[in-house]
Amino acid sequence: MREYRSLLKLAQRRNRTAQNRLFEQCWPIAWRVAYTVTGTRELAEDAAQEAIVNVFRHLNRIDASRPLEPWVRRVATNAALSVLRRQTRQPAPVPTTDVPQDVVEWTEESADEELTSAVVALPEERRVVIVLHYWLDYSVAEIAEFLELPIGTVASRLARALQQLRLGMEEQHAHSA
Amino acid sequence: MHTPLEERLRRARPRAPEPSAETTGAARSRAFEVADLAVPDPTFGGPRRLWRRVRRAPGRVLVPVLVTLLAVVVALPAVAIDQRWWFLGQHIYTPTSGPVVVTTGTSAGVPWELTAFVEESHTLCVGFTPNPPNPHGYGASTACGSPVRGLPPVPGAKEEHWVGWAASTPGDESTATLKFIYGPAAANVAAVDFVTDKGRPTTVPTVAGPPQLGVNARFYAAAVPTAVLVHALVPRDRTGRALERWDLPIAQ
Repeated sequence: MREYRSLLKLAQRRNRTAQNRLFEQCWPIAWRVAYTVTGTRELAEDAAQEAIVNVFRHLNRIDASRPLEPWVRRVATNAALSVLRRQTRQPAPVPTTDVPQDVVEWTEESADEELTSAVVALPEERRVVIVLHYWLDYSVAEIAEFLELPIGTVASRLARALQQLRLGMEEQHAHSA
Repeated sequence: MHTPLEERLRRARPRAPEPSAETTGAARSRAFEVADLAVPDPTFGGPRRLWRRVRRAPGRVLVPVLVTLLAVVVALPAVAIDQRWWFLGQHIYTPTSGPVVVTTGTSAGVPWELTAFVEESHTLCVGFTPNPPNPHGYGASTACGSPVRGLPPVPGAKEEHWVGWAASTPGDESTATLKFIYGPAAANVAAVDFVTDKGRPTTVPTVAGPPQLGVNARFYAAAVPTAVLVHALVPRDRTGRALERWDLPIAQ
């Protein structure tokens, strides 16, 4: 903790070596969160960069007595959600028959390909609550804060998403049986 | 108590692939760029640190404290007036009319206010303040002397536009993803289009300045996601006619 405090202090004094070390600590967190929330490399690149810029923009306001990771995760989550919102406001891309490379890449990295693919296929608002709750370990109240929604709405989206996943997988098993 | 599906979901947490070296490099450059621009923290480092300093060198801490205290007592009446307006607390500006609140709003849950006053040099100043009254002016900014048609002339200005502009990034964690673009507008500007790099332009209506300001100006302010770059401003009159397209020298 003491080492982190002095690192932060040096970084705040514009010591490039310290800033570099701080970047090395924050960037993997920002990237992982951005990728998990957005689900594609392209969007994750935008979101992670936005997050790291926000972290460094507020370097002087970081509270050295608190752990860095939860704060970076929150900043990255907000950035990723903001990128997703902007994405949904833009015209929908022309559908192609190819499976997007990012989705393939994502499912290959997962321990449970079948379930991960089912999550990826969920409608965006349901996928997001699943990802935030089960993959980033945020509580329903925290998700409600991120999404600026009532807690009840988030809980209901979560329940519907779980139901859809359950039904989808049962259907798939019935087909393959 | 978790259902089997929930347990399975938690175990299915995917691992992200490595970011490309190019993305990491770009992120690093941008991060250092903003870190260099960051304003130093004005706080003194907490009571413990202050106490350590007092113990080590009492004179070095106590003398400035006493001098400051004396200055505060002497200047108390003036401070009492300036508390409402952070920009007057710095004694940089001497308003000849105003300050007045032009409009207020709330973006991403953060209240803000747009203020205006005419400065001693007769130029119009516009201030943006998040979390008003915000006596220390954290995340606030002021812009004076935008050469706008019909407003007090700005000495040395080469060209006039239908609007002026300034950008403010409050820096508050809750508004980390937002910046604000605001400014004065000529009296016949009813709305301003923000031409961005993302999607269609966003139209922001202008509001009239209060009469006590003594200047026939209108004003606008809008919250913009930090990732969206505003390339140009297109002021429009009441009929919707574009008065000009002002390509900003640096996208905001």
